[in-house]
Amino acid sequence: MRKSSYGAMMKKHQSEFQIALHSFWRNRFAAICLGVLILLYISAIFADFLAPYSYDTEDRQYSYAQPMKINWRDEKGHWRWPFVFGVNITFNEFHGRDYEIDNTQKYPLRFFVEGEEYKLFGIFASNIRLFGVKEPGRIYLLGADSRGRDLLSRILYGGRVSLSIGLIGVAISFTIGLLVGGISGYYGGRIDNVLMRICELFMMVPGFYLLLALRAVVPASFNSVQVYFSIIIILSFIGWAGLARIIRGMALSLREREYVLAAKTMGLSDFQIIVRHILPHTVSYSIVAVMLSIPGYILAESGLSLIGLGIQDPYASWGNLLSEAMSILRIQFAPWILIPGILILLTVMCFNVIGDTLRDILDPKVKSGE
Amino acid sequence: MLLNILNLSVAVRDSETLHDKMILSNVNVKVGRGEIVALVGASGSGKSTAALSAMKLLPPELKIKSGQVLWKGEDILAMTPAELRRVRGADIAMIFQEPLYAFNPLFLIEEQIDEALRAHQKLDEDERQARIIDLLVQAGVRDAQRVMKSYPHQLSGGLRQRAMIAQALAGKPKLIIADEPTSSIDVTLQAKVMELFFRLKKNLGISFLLITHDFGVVRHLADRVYIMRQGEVIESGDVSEIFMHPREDYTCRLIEATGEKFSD
Repeated sequence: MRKSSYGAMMKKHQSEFQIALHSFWRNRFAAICLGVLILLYISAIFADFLAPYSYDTEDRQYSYAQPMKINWRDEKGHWRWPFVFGVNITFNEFHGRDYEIDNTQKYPLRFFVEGEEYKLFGIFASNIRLFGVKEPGRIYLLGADSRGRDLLSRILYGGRVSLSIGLIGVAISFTIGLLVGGISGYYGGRIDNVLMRICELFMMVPGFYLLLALRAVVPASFNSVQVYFSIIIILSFIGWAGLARIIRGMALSLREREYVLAAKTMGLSDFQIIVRHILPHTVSYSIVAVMLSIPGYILAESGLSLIGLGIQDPYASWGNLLSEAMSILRIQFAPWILIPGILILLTVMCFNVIGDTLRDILDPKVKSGE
Repeated sequence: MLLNILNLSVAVRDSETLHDKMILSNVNVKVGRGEIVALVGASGSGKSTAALSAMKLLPPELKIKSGQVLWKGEDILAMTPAELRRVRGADIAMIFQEPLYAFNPLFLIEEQIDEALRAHQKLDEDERQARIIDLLVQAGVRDAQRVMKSYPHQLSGGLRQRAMIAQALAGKPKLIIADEPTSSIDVTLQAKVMELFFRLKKNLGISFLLITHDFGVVRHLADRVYIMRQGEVIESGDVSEIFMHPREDYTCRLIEATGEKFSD
């Protein structure tokens, strides 16, 4: 068994990367998680096209409308083109809404319909949406929120914020963390001392309090795009310190390698040496660390938005969609408002599974357990 | 005189007793233009330290107590980092004992020679490509096209050695410091590398500061030799003279250890 796999390796000369890729695919669960993530990201990118309505289209009539069923058969049992029934809304004696499915009104599902205008990728103006029903009918596949906005559409648009914040935040904080860690470990001595004490300052304060304190500094007059970017900057501001410490430790040992000395004898600058000869050797650790720290950013944004300090209504993020689910009565009455939470859970879990799998593959110390 | 190490003393502070321990004391080494000079001594005699201080690359725990390192009359030890970068690679280059460790395992040979080129010369992409091949050929690599597209671990020891020499040549140095260049390769390759050094000296006028414990190499290659022991230069002079009339007992033993005396 061992002999044959060794032979297979020798027959085809594989690079380290190919071997890693191969063992990644062999791990089904991680591959599925990667697939789920790709699906989520694609649906966030094409949210304009996939969502039947815009994130702020509201119809107060349909406040907390239930998720609608797509029907394939009419009342006589005949097969039909998929359609949804209309709803009749009446008020009961407690001034609550009662929804009654109106069997007489049928709104067939239509694809590539003309809906509200949007700009795909912010460039191509279009009004074609994947599906919808003819006015005055409305389609709420995942139900509606208090203001009668389609939850599915808001989840799709909200995914843009929640999913991108992780990526951009990690990109910024890793750039800072790698540079600070690299500089600190490479120079050592006093520079190292100063930088590491600054790191500790950031790590000392509990993350969420620091997050709130920094959020308080952001002017209230900021519009949602500015708030979005300030949240990213705040999150990366907090996140770099832990990474910097670990990279610093690696740099301390890497700078003793002979090729670093060789690079010095060639007359390369310290910065070139750090970027070319120190940091690339931390890459297998960094990839894993990136994967495992993205969930932190997504959760932090959700947390901020949940308590109303993040993305503001009418803009959607998974966190602020969940803020409606803070009261138990509403959850009892309209359990579908918890769906964004399920998506957060799913995303965080997928990133963690992929991160763990990558660590198993890339870290030679745990490889033997395979 | 290209390189002139004058009365150099280097010490390391013992962390327990807090006393300075001398690594080098009053070392004088001169390297002239087109000259091959050897520093010979046992391990721990301070020959590598002397060579590293010539480029001001001593590890931080080693402190220079006194002395000067003059490069064409300028004191290297007093240079700013920017001035040092101009000297390193372009004036003085270094090759190492084990080329496998002296190359970064993540990059192609081509990229690493390119890095040395870009550090000192302003050439465009095509010129650099041509120059890399040129350098490899100069260093005696026959299939330069294949070697430059390889990673360090894919090459044989001999080719790696030559690739490293090509890298050292990239900045057109006047002096190459070779730290035990022949210790990790077998005897036939040793002969070829020595021949290569000799050719580089003759064709390009490059001087060499050879650090070795192998008197056989010294005998064949060097013009002058410094014998080091416990941080001091105990004997120096022309190679033939020292071979014929070694003054110090230690030198005799070094010569005998190689068996050179009897094979002649």
